[in-house]
Amino acid sequence: MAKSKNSGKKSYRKKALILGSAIAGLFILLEIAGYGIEIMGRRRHSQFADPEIAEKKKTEREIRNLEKRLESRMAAYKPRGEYIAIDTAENKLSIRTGERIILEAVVSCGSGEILQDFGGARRWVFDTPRGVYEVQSKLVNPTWIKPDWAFIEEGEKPPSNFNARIDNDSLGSYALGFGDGYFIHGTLYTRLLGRNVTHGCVRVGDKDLKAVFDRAKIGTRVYIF
Amino acid sequence: MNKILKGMGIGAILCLAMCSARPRGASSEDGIQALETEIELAKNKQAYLILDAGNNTAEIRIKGLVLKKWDLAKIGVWGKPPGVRTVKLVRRTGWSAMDRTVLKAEARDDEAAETKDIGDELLELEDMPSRYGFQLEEEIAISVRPASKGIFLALRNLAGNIGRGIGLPLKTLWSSIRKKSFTKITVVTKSKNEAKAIFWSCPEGTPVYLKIK
Repeated sequence: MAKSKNSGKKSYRKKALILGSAIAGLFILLEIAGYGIEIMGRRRHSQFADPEIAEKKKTEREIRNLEKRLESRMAAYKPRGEYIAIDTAENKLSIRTGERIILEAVVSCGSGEILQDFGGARRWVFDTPRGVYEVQSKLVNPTWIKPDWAFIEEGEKPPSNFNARIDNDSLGSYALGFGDGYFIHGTLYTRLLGRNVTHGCVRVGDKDLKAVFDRAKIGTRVYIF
Repeated sequence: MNKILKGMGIGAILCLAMCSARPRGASSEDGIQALETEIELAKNKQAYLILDAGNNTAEIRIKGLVLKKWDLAKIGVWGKPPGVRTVKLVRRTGWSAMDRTVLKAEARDDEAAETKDIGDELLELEDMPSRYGFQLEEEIAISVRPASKGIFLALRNLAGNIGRGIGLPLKTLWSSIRKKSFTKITVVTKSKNEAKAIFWSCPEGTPVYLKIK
């Protein structure tokens, strides 16, 4: 009886080993097939690389001329003179010409928070918008007309009285508008410079703000990334 | 069985080392195609990411203007190299999700607001993941991770390499059965912060301009 039990165990082990080996073999075959396809694909690609380019092959001179034309077209998209670059990750604003940095300032950009209205009917995302913009307005001692979200965030209902929306202090001494209600402006909260805390505008410390304001002109490009 | 498994592991690593050849960057002959591609991108206001295997760099540009540049530790490619082309970033995946705080309008508890740490609700660079994936159009995937520094990260990267050595061939096989091409690009940054900054700079929908041959 004990003998037959032992032989049963042995045959079970044998079967398990065969099954395991078969699975492992199949797995290895699949792996090899995968590697093979990858290598073949790479070879095929290198043999017939870029047929479009091959078709375009002209004399060296023609290619150089075309390259020059394309480069001048490309250059037309780049800014002439000074431009403002805002790095929302590092909370840094710089004024540059080409790759040269003329001025660099620590700023505060959007917090990324989302605010929902009472009942959730409206929502605002407090991101600094990215892309390329232009300075559209230059304001001295700017007044902020507080939008609805400024009240809702404080747990208040937006007032119907327009005068209750006027705020002469929050934006500092200067503001540069770059569209859609967004501004580069001053701040009362200088200790938060370098952090992402704003509702989308770019806050700058007093000293840097004056320098940025003086250098920027209407039409100066603002690159936000 | 153990021997078979060990053999398989070693084989997979060796094959991966053989297959993941360094990709070529765009040569000067491809300059025209590169310029034409970038002119198309420069027509828009949107920022785009350039991955250049030749120079081993990643750049954020708007209208041809380089706004940020990272020198990378490595760019590797598995499968058909994508060449010089633009594809859109469809989806980002990360180990730590990029959650935004939703503030709900309600009567404010001033005392609670004062005691709350200012950093709790903000979305900042340090909240971004340093290991993540970008799923691009046309079955192209990018995985980004920082270079190994320290034993823990080195072990984690080794485990990742073994995983890729086993997983990528199977995915290639599956894609070829579905008659689709599959390309996986691996970007290794020099530091954690650089990986985080790339994640920050590339929201979903960002055009990714690949120069990987």
